[in-house]
Amino acid sequence: MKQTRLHSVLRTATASVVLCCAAFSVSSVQAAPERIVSADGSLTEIVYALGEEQRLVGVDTTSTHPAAATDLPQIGYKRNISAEGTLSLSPDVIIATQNSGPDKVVNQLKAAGVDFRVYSEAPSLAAVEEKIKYVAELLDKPAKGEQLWAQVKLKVDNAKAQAATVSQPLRVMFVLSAGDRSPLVAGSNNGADTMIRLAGGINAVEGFEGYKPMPVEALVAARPDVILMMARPGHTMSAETLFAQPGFAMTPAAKEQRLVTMNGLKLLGFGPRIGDAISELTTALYGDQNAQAAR
Amino acid sequence: MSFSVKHLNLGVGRKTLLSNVSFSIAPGELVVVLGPNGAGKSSLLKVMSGEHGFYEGDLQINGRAYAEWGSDEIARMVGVLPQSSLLTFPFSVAEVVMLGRLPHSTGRARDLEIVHQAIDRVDVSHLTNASYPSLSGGEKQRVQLARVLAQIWEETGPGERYLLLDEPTSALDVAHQQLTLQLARELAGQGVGVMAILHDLNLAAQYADRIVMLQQGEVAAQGTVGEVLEPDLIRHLFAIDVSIMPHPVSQRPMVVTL
Amino acid sequence: MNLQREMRAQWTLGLLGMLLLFTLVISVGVGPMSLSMAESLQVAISRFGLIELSVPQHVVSVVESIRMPRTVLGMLVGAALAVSGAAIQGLFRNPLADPGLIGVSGGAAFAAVASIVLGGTVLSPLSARLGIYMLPLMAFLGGFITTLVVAWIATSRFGTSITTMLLAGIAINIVTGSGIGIFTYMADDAMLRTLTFWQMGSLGGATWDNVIAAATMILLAVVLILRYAKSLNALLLGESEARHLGVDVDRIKMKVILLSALAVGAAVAVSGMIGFVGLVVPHIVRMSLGPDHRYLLPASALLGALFLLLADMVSRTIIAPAELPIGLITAIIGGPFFIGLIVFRARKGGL
Repeated sequence: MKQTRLHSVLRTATASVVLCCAAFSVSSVQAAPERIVSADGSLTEIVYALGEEQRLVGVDTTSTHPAAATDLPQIGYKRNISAEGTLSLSPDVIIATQNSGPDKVVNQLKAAGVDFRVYSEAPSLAAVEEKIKYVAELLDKPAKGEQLWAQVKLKVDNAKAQAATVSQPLRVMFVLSAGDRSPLVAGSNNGADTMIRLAGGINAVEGFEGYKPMPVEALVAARPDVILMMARPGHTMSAETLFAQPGFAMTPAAKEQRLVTMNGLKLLGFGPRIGDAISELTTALYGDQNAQAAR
Repeated sequence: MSFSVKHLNLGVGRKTLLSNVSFSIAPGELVVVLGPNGAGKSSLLKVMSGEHGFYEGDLQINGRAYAEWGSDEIARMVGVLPQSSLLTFPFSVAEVVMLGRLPHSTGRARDLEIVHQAIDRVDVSHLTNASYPSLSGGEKQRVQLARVLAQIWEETGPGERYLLLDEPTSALDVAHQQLTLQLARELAGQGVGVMAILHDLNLAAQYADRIVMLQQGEVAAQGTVGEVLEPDLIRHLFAIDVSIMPHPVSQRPMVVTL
Repeated sequence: MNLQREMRAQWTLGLLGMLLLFTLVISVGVGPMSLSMAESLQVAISRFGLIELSVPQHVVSVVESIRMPRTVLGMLVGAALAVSGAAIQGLFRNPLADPGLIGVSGGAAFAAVASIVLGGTVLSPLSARLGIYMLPLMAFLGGFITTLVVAWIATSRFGTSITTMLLAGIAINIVTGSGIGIFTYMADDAMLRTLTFWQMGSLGGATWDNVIAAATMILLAVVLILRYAKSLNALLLGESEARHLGVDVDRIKMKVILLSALAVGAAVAVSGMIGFVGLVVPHIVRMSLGPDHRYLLPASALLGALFLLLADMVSRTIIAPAELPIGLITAIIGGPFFIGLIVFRARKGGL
């Protein structure tokens, strides 16, 4: 058990550090692939958003949006896909992100002659743009891709404008899990941090990267105005419960019970819904009137 | 008053370990149990020390059935010296002997006094503060004997005391074999009933008041040294030819192999 | 008699007690929030009605409802793990034995991971009712029930066999380990993070509620285990020898096992997996005071509490504002110590 624990720590660490230079070789000569397997939820969403879902023959377990995607044949969890299961779907191309794997399986798939495309995993708007445009090119629908990106961009800009009208940005803390233990919170350099900043907030947590446990005392010292959490079936915590806990009870957020919960995949998926996610978060932070005023 | 077994039967599975064994130890006597390997000597000692609860027959200490005594009362009457010890933790010799005082509540000062006297009597006082695991096999054996002596040092209420020794001399040199059995004799002199399992016929001849001879789980003979140490019986049991002659000094019987 | 050793033991107990008190004060005064030591202590002392409080309310809250429960929990968990470790080692007559051998940690981890992963689905009625208390409750029950199963396997009409128990413990740990593997496989990314960190241990969940719950069980167990010190000493001689000394061996074995499961179960429930305390602390004590449980057990309790308090101070401050899981700290200290011990024993040919 200790080994698995260590192993998973190492894996998370390496996945986030290594693999920054993936090849984006886009071939315009070949015909657009007809059979696609997606090994990442955000890529699956992009294929759907481009209206090309009929070409998907398989997806991984992180592809849960739209719901129809879950009916497609499964190739397993994105970091642990099965080589033979994937090949049995006879894909023309597999689209994946940097942390799809394991490497051994990726090599096997490549050796089997499958076109394996790897896209950026970075939690940034630029990565979303890249993913949309490259997938659109792969599917031979570059115009649709431009259009989709423009829609996303518009929403992001609107949210930015709305946030700009606020004199005092809010300090937001993303809490991955809280309960009987030091809560797991988002430091810098991760999806939640990016989303908070894009939505016009300030990440209340400074001093470390990624998601780490934080002593409740440090949580009080971080003075968050708003707590942001993921809404997950059965795991969603009510503001009442959260702010009853000693640490959270002493934050500025507790005064007005400011807890924002959002769908996890939408918030942290970095797919085509990122525009909606940002405006939803901005609205949740600063209210609706501002949003209309900004438009 | 005695420590007695009557019609004792013991079996594990279909194997019979003891069958219809009857004998007793009276306070003040030294009874030696002899017999070839596998005769049931250790099984007998285990039944008498409460290790095997699944025997049939009658086991009594000082006129009361074994099961009617509380375990703390038995511990104050019966001391048991095992063949070897499992102790690997670094207790000092004095600490090991002190464990013998566990069943008693005579107070710390008295306990310390007894512990030191017991250590003296088995001739290990030079090792009082030594770490037990660092001792030789013979020294360990003597320390364990001191522990058991400390346990039954004086009569404390429930009744006469008994000492069960399982091959107490197996790890000892000749001098300490003599010392140990002399000690057993002295204890008997003080009114303790002593039972010792031995292998050496001459040690038995030299020190025993009575001998119980076991063979295949049954009592082959019991009685005084002279009655039991018979050339015919010994040939029959151990398949060796011996002759018995008086010891030149003590005049006690002596077994000489031919 | 080893009067010297006994004197030393008594002195050591006194010294450890004072050190613990001193560390307790420091622990309340130190944390990621920059409060002055004087302010923190003022809050602590004012509780006893000795002085009038003159510090801001937020300082009072931080000290009273965050630092103090966490400090108390650290002491309780440290004492529980160290005392159970010492008792189990005595019972198994093996200085390298660990409470993990009786299945309590494996069972607790299994139940905890199950409630993390299944809390949203199969177990949601339970999690809806129990809220944040579900995980500790499940972990405690998981640990205790697993130990009962191990004890039940090892008990026959001839009594409880320590050897069988060892085998049963190993087998049960394989079962719970594979169960944890299955749940880990089923977990999503957020659950994975939660359960990974759970397994590294933390005192971060301390609230007065769970401190009081854990304290009830841990203090009860520790005090009762201390009462068996003399019997455990006799057991070191061997089970037969202990029986000849009037010790009710089977009863003591069962009681010590269940009390250890109670203490460790409660500790794991509130703090997750904190390794090596139960192994290293009794060992250090044994090296200096000898194996006499009358001193070993209380000294282990004090040193365990002290050790965990220090480890938790490191945990809270070394990478502030984040927290370094305390299980990593105890393992970083305990691992090399353990290796050194094995090498030492191998070279010396056993202790």
